Amino acid sequence: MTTSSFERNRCTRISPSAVLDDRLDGKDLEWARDHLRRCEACRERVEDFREMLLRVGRLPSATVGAAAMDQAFALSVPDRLRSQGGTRSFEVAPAQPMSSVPIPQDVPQPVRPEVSSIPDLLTELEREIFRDEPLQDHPVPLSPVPEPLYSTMAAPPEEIEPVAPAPPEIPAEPVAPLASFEVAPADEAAEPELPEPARHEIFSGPLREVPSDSYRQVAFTDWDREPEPQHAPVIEEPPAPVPVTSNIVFSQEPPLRMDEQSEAAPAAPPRKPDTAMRIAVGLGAAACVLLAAVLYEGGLFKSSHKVSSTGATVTQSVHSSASVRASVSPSASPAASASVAASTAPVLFTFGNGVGGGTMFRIRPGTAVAGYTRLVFDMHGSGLPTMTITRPDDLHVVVTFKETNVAGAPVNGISSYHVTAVEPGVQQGPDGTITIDLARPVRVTAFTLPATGGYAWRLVVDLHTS
Amino acid sequence: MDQVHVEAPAFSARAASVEREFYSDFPLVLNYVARLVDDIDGAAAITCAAFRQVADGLRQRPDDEGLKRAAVFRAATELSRSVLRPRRWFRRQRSAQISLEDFPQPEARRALRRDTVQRALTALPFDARAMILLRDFVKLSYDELGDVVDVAPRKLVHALDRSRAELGEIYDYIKF
Repeated sequence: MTTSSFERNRCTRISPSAVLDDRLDGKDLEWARDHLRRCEACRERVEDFREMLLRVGRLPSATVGAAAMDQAFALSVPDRLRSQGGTRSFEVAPAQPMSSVPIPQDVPQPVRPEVSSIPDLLTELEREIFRDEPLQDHPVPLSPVPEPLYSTMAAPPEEIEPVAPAPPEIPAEPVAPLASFEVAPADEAAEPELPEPARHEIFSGPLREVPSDSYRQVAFTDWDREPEPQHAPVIEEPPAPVPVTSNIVFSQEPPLRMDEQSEAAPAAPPRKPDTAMRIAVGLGAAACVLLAAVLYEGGLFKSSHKVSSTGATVTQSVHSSASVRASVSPSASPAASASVAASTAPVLFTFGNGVGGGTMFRIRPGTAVAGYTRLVFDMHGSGLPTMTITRPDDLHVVVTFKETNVAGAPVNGISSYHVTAVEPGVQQGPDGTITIDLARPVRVTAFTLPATGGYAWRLVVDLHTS
Repeated sequence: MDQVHVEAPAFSARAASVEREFYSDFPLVLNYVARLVDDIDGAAAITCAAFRQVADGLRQRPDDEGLKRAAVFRAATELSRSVLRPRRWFRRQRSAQISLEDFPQPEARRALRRDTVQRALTALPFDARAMILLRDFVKLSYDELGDVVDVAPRKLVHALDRSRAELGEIYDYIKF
């Protein structure tokens, strides 16, 4: 338990996790304590692990509000575990007459009412997540997708009677409930997926009482159809005879205009796979890439590429005069470099929160990655000062720290493929300036890091080969 | 005919237990999933699905008392693993998301994006990431952790050693 062997160059006889998580006891614990007293490498490893453990343990947590919790609770926990806290009531007889919305006579009860009462978003998520998986891979068998409520409508379309649903202009009394209706409980009757509300919107006026068989004329006849074209059979009928009670204004209008609009569209559009569209998009993208490659090889993009990638650099090289270039060299004095930077240099980046009074106490090379040089400026203080990175010419980058002391920062020994030297900091009043002498023209990127753990506030400057 | 009222006191106690456990564990699971999948916007849907999955299983086992914490974390971990599974080429991936009220807050989203430790965690393999988060962030015990990740407690020490060492290496590499 106290040994670990995934590192070979150092002593790995102590498992840091066993020490940190108190998994040792008895002789193992005594031996581990004794070994840690003597072995520097193991002590360092345990300390490293402890720091990492603390960092993960201190990760901030996002707060969830009470409203969000209630919403999540309603979405997550089924009704039967949530809402039946005390008294449960069961309807044993046909309930109150429903509203004027007609209820189909042959509506079966939902297969799993408690599942179908949950919003369908979670079912969609589960269906999406486990689409490719066989059922046995799932730790808990997923609940099946709720069966469609109108199972009898999958049957072949019935013969359509010539009597169409009443036009909306006919005044009618509310529909009386039929005695043979199986009235669902209130929460199930309010199921948002039932198609009655949509039908109710279409026939906005009061509905005329019709025989129960006529309701099937507007029912679904095919499950592949979308919910909207449910009135398609009505369209295919010959024009309904104008009722005697209809007024002359409505009789001049074509009846059921919404149905005619749906007639203009395909009544039951089959679901086409969009593979052709995907292939077309893919071919188009490939053609674009090929075209870009051809143009690039032809040299058309080369000039514009320079402009787009280092726009500030190009501007600087255009506007800076030759005399300035000649006067600034790696051996030039820091004051001269700073003055050049202050006068004409284009500003590449500006960072910071405007916190003054700090000290830039160290410049160090960052992660050694081939291809760019990283310089890290460590700062003491309560925050980041305003920092401006300018570029007086191709071979100098000037970093200005507002209201920050940079005089004492050691700059010796920093050189790389991109950097010739870092000049000592120059203090001009409250502001400090650091000039980086470059060995070759580079592309500059930079970002800041807050003070975390054992690290101070940092400015990170990356010098890439341009 | 009148309504018939049926008292269900046992169910009431269990419902109260489920509610109490949900409200106590949901933020923790949500933050765990957000760190695990590195997506605070999609974490709510996964967390709700995990709770719903456990609650569905609970309904089929009437003798269980309430939502078990390890079961919820196990379901959340498996759902997160499935979400992160690479899809087939050129296949449209719908992102089923649940929008909770005032969640996530913008600063939480920014913090998740900028956190160096989170970036190091994201670079870890899924199992190692889950193990570290469950032990160090959620602070599960070894027994609970072994139950969630299906590893024997005796082997958990070595697995955690490897995972933490890898996380430390990645963090040291990207910390600047």
